[in-house]
This record gives sequence, structure tokens and C-alpha cells, in this order.
Amino acid sequence: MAEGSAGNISRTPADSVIGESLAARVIGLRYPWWRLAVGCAVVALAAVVAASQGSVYIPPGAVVELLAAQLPGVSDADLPASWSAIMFQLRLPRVALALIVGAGLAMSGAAYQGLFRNPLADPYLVGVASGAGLAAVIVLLTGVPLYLAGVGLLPIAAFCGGICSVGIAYTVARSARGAGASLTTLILAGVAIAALTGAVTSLLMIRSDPDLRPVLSWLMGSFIAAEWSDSGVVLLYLAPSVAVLLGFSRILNVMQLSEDHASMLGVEVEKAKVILIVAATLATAAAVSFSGLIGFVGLVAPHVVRLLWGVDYRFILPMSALVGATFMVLADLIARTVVSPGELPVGVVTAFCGAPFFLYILLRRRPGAM
Amino acid sequence: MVNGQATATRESTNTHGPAARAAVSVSGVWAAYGERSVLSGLDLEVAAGSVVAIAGPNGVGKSTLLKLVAGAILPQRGMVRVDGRDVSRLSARERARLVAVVPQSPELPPGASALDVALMGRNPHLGLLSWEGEDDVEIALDAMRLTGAAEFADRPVDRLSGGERQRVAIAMALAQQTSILLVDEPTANLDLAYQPAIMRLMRDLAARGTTIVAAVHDLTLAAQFCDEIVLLSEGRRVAAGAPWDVLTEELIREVYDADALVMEHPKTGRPVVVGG
Repeated sequence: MAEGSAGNISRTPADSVIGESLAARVIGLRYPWWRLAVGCAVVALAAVVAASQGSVYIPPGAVVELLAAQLPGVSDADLPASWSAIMFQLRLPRVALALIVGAGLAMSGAAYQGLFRNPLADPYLVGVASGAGLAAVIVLLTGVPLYLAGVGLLPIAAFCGGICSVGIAYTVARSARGAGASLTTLILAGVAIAALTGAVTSLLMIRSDPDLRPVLSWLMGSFIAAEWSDSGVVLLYLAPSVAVLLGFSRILNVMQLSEDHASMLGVEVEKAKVILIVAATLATAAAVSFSGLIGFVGLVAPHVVRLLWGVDYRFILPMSALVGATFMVLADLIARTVVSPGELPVGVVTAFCGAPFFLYILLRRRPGAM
Repeated sequence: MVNGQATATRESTNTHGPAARAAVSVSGVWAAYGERSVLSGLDLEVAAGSVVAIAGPNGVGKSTLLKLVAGAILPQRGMVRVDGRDVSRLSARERARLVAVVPQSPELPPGASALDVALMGRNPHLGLLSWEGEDDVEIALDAMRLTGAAEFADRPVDRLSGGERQRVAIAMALAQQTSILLVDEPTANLDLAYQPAIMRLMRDLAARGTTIVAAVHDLTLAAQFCDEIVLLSEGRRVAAGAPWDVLTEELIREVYDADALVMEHPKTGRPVVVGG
């Protein structure tokens, strides 16, 4: 394989360009680590800016000082005690949850888009949202206690509802005839289940108490009640999912070929599909359980990354997480400041900002990049 | 007969005469898509290092046969052996290190560069968490030089012509470094200049020990470059052998239900088939 000639087509003019040391250079250039580093810096900046804004303005420098004071060996900053309370009890838990949820939704959106080879895929494609929504509405409207022994039931119900509905869609797709088309079947089953659970949700809302604001607020998403422990629980599910998705990111590249072709390149396609669906579903269900159904982040963030910076999922997945986290933190900042002292559901903001931006991106995309 | 073949294959893997060893052995294979039966009791032996063309009318099961040999689908009945090993017992990774496939019209991911795609051929040699190293890039670039794809290594595949994409797809298969290469209509998207160039590449690879099985539509092209032509009809093998033995006017009329003239190529001395 190494050398030898294949008649008149092996010696091309490009041999001088594709020189001997090229392999080393190619490897060095292939992975843009620096973009991830810049992305991390932007996330940190967005978080600090978001934490500084609110009914009480705390200068970004003070936010950094307050954070630095948490490190061992750094003396306490000489700042008002109320700032510290606002920071650590109100704003930072909220910023942290927004970061984590944004990153989780964006990364599972990217994984779904890769897995289904469909740019329209978002984390809610196979029914997580509808299942989680129905479960949340049941808890909010049917007299189920919101707290049991001090544990909030709403996130647990939403999480289980999301997983169940994907589980049903997946079981249907598995047992359908002609397993070759199972990804399409899975989407269709997801659509059917979403329609069904959506109908039940509407029915419950129509037949219930007239005050639907808590329900609507959950269905549009909000970080208003965020606590540190919420972030901890979401991370518990998100961390292993993220690890799995990143681990499979190179395989996801190969799966951009047809399924047959990927399998002939040594990918255990069926196994990889199950693993990716489980990981992305867990991440999504965990993300929506505390914050409700926030749209558009999981769709837009991976697109931005793909359209600006190419097609390698080893880069798309982590970079989407960073873009999603930034987007979500800024959206939540707008949601809680723009109609202060009131609040907008964050899903309204993500749709308001995300949809026009998405249209703009579509207009200036590179040909063939989708 | 099945037992006899299996024994022969096992024994011959120990001998080193490349011509004696069966690289691919298909025995009594049945395959169907739903109700429609495609292959019914097909037998086939391909000697290592040879170039074999699978020919026959449209829909006769040429692509199905290649998928069976690659292990992408399993036969309803019968056995497929590659390098003496039962394909159905191999993992996808093991199969992809033995057999590489160039599909008929590969869907290459838009936006990926030709080199990105060729590097996907290294997948069976990489662990889950390992990324391509310098060696892998060298191998992929070598494969691209062989197929004449190196000159557009950094161009996105969606901006390449059909023929250029085909050369990238072949380079990806070569980067798998397998001893067996299956090609489905290798010249389908190529213009006149590149058709013989690709077939010559197949010959060169065979000269270095790679076994080539190609589904070929064009009987004349197959006759110029292949050691053996296997003619399929109605899911069975109706003839197999050297081009002059298989490409007879009677057999073509029987299989294709069409009149054809078989003449001698003035330069190669091999058969040329002209529709009548």
C-alpha cells in the first residue's frame, strides 16, 4: 500500500503540495483546541456579566472577587455582605443551572442531528418534551402534592415522563417490521406519541382550574426557582451522558455515511444508535426536569457551530455545549431583567432571539453545509 | 460439497501459494428482500489476488452478493467465508479489517474534506477513544495518491464531481488496508479517461495480493481487466471463468434476453461486447 504506482493516475501535481511532512502538519491543524478555549472564556464572561445584573447591580469585578474569595488561601473581599448573599443564594445558582441546561440541550441536539443525519432534529425530536410536559402538567394540575418529604416531585415526574415517552417510541420502532428503517420509524413513533400526550395535556389544561400560569410557565421554561442542588442533580445525569457522547463523537462522524457503509467500516451501528439515543435522552430529560421545556437552544447552537466551523463531531459536540450554555445564560438574563420586577419565560426569549438568528444563519450558510 | 469446500479452504490457508487459496467462498447462499427472493443457492469461489467481475442483468443480486460477502447482511441459508472465516461470526470491526467495500453511490457527508472521508477508512483500526495519528494520515494520503484523489485532499466532498467523489470513496476503502476489496460499479460515475484508470488500479492492487470482487455493468470493461467473470441470472451462477469462456453470444442472449456481437479487441485480444 505504501508505495508503488498505479499507472498514469498515481503521480499528480499535488504530490509536491502533499509533501512528506504533511501528515504531521495535518494532525496538528485538524483539531481547533484554541476555539474551545475561546469558547470557555466566552462562557465565563457571559456568566460573570449575567451574575452582575439584576435589581441590585454588582460590578463584574466584584463578582470575580466574590468568586475568588471562595478559593482556599484567598482573603475575603471587603464587599457588602448583602452582595455575597445575592450572589451565592440567588444569582449564581440560577446562572449555574442555566449554563448546565443550555450545554446539555445543545449537546444532545447536536448528537440527535448527527445520529438522525437531519438538520431539523432537536433534543425533543423523539418525544422527551411531550412526555415530560404531560407528567409536569399532571403534577401541577391534578392535586398531586408538589413536595413529598421535602423533595420536589415536579422534576422527578418530568424526568420520568420524558424517559417513558422515548422508551415507548423506541419500543414501537424496535418491534416494527423492517428494522432497517428504524430511525425513521423512531421519529414517526415519537411524533405520534407527542401528538397523543399533547392532546392529553391540552385536555387536562382545559378541564382544570382557570389559573394556568404555573403550567404555562413550566411549558415555556424558567430558571426562577433554581437552587444549587438542582444543578447538582442535573449534573449527575448530564456528566455520564456527556462522557458517552464525546466518546462516540468520532463514530458519529463515520455514521454520517449511510448505515450500511458505516457498518462496513466496522461500526456496530445498532449498538451505537442505542447508546447515543440513551445518552442524549438522559441528558435532555435531566435538563428539562428543573427548567421546563426551553426551545430552540438545542436546535440553534449545533447549527451555529456546524455552519461556522465545520463538520467534525469531535468539535461540534463540545463547542455546541459552550455555545448553548452562553446562549442560555444570556437568554435568562434578558428574561429576568427586561420586564423587571416581573419575568418572562426563558423559552419566550430563546425563541425571540433564536428564531431570527436562525433565519439569518440559513440565509448566509455555505452551500451544501447542511 | 459444502463440507468439501470448507475443508479445502481450511487446508489451503496454511499453504502459501496465493492462487490456490480461496479468499472468498460463498456456498449455497439464499437471500431475499422481504418476499422477493434475490439469490437462490449461489456458489462462488474467488482465488486470492485475482480480479473477479460479477456481471448480470439489473436486479440480479450483484450488490446483494457484495453486501453478503462484506457481512452487511446475513444469508437466509448458506455460508459466506472470507479468508477462511465465517463472516456471520465476525464482529463489524473484524469484518472491516478483512473486507473493504466501495458502495455504488456512497453518501459522503457534505462539508467534510476528501481527506476527512479517506481517514474514515481507518475506523476499523482505531479504538473507540483513539483518534487518527500521523500513521493514519500517511496511509490515507497514500491511498488518495493511488486513486488520484490527493490533489483535492482538502476540498469539501460536496464540491467534487461524481468521478472525484468515486476516487475518494475508493481511497477510503484502500485506507482500511484489507486483503479483500469489494467494489460496486467502480466506474459508474467516471468518464471515459478514468474508467480504464480505475480498472488498472484494481489490477495493480491485485498484483500486490489484494483480492478484488467488482460488480460490473459494462461487460466489455470487465473483459479487459478481470481474470474471471461470474455471470448471474435469476439468483444463480450461470457461468464463471475466463472472459472468452463466459462472454459468448449464446450465453448473453440467454441471460440478457438480447442479441449481442462478441468481437476481439484489436489491442488486448480480449472480448468486446456490442449490443446488436
